[in-house]
Amino acid sequence: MLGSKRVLAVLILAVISLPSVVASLASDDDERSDSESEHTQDESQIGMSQASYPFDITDERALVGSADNVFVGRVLKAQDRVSSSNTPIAPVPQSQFAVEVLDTVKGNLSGTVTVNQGGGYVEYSADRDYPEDGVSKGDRIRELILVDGDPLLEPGKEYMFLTAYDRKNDWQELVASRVGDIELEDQAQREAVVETYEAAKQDQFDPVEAAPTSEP
Amino acid sequence: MNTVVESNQTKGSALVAGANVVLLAVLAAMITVATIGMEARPASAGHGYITNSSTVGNPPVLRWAYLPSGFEDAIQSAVASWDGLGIVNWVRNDTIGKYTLRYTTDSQPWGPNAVGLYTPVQYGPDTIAFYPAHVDKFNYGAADKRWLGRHESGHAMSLKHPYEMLVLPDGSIYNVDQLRSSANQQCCVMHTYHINGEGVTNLTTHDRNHFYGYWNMYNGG
Repeated sequence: MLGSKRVLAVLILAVISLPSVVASLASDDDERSDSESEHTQDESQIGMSQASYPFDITDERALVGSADNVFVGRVLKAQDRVSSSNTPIAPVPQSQFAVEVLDTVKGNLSGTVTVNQGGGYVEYSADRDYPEDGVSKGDRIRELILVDGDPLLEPGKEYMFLTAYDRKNDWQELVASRVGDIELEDQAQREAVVETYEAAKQDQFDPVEAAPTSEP
Repeated sequence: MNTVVESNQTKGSALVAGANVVLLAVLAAMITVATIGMEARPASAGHGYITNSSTVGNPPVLRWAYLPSGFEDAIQSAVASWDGLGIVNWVRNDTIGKYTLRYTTDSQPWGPNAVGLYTPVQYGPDTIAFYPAHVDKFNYGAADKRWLGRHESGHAMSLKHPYEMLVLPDGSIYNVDQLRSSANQQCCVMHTYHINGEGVTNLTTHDRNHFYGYWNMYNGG
């Protein structure tokens, strides 16, 4: 039902905004070049990865238990990075962001840290011709891949982060998509979310230890 | 110069006025269609290859390719399981193509917890990545791996996680009650029943239950 309402809202907004777009096109037609159109087409592809987890990621106690750090942070900047492949196998993209630590619920982070998020821009070669889209085999494709629809972090915005330290890369990994980076839109929400995770911290458990042991 | 400008403005105003009239009509039609459509059927499948054929009698063909991954049993079991339901036919094919799934392990797994990741792209084969280190960390046995293979393969048929249910507009973060009321929320709750461009609700109850179980059953299913 929520999805239905969102779709409806998007449809209404789209239709309301169309007259402005039409007017804009009427005056700007001559300024639009073919190369710009192609550029936009190439970069507008959005894919959706689906990540699977071995425990209930809606259980804040398990999430906090799997995290080394739980903190409120503000995204300072995004690292301009594109994961690329010379084959038709697109690599799973990952994106890094500089984040200022504002408040900690778990762990002792401070200052500025690097947060790694699953998802981002990826480049690969088309595996065959797609004449309906004007794409030929071998063409370089640039595509935005989001994991479970989790939008890329945006500089200037504040989030509640749940992360685990990745020693190899020396960065903070989100423990899960969407639930590992919760956007905080106002003070009231921030306080509510912090309270939720403070409480979860009291009852946290390690989902690895809680995982059932099955036959080899 | 001024004439040209006025002419452009007039042109623009006329376009806007005309567009408003037409689009108001379109808006009414879209709202009607959207309201009816959203209640009557699930979200778009997103993949062309599972449309244009009926669920019963003419299952679509999904090719699959094999890459050494240490998950041979999981892959074989997944293919056989879905094949056995008769909803989709899986055909071994090593040729890379749009409809081909590639199974692989990823040397750079994302996050400390994910055990599998399904990634579709527009102009290449969809990829299923298993993360062996995480699988081992969570004590996955052979049956768990078979379930994981079946689950990830199910994504190729547009089965999706209910991520859109996790954030609510009233400020609460998760729709926990709705998720926890489901039969199994160990990993994922099947949200979008969508095979062959048809809602799975069009299947018989028997088939639907099988389908649900194959997708959701965790830890030894």
